[in-house]
Amino acid sequence: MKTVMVVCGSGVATSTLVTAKIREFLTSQGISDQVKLLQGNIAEHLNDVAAYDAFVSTTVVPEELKDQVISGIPLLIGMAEEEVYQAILRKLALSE
Amino acid sequence: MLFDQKIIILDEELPSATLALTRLADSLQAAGQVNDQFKAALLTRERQFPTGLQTKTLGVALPHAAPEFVEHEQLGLLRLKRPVIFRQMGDNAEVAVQLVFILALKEPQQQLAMLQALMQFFQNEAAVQKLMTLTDQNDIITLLASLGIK
Repeated sequence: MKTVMVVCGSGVATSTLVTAKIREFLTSQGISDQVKLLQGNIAEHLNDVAAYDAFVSTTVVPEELKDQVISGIPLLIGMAEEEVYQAILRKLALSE
Repeated sequence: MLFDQKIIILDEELPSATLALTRLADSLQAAGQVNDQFKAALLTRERQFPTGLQTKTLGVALPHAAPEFVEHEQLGLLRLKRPVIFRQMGDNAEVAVQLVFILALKEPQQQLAMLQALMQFFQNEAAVQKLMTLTDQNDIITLLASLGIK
């Protein structure tokens, strides 16, 4: 089972919206049963980014983590969503 | 109703994000909707987790603070005469913001529903255009209510 962690500042609001979008996408790709979606707040997960196959954030992450984190903002505002989905698929190594 | 205190501030010129947030927080507090710690909590949270967003239609900000400072759930809207620079959610980039929606809510579920409705609104060019031109508070309340923001 692959894992995706979605975080925001509080772990309550924007991460829930983004998680719902990702779930919808995974379902549309027929791979929702291969991926476990998790949700939390950024402070709790700063030290375990590498523990998940993909890590999506709607809030700022420290410079040293930037390369490992996918921004969830496009899903929030409904722009360039496809790029986020593709980035997640690449991390999950489920693309193609 | 989340706009029943009519915290709808139109076309003021405020020189900074901090002053824009202060203006809204003071209005909420004067109306008895938030306690005296709300403003400080709001400003701190905005520094820590900025809420500016460059949406398809325009730059917006969605400041909010923890529910414990909220006495009565309420929304507030500030339409700025000139955009001010906020930091963007997610990457701290500068965003020129013209519309600020402040969320003084208690229930996570409600916060979520409201965020979702607002995000849909920001993608609705015609509705945003209309909001930018209306001058009567009641017309704005009616418009937002028709989009589930009420």
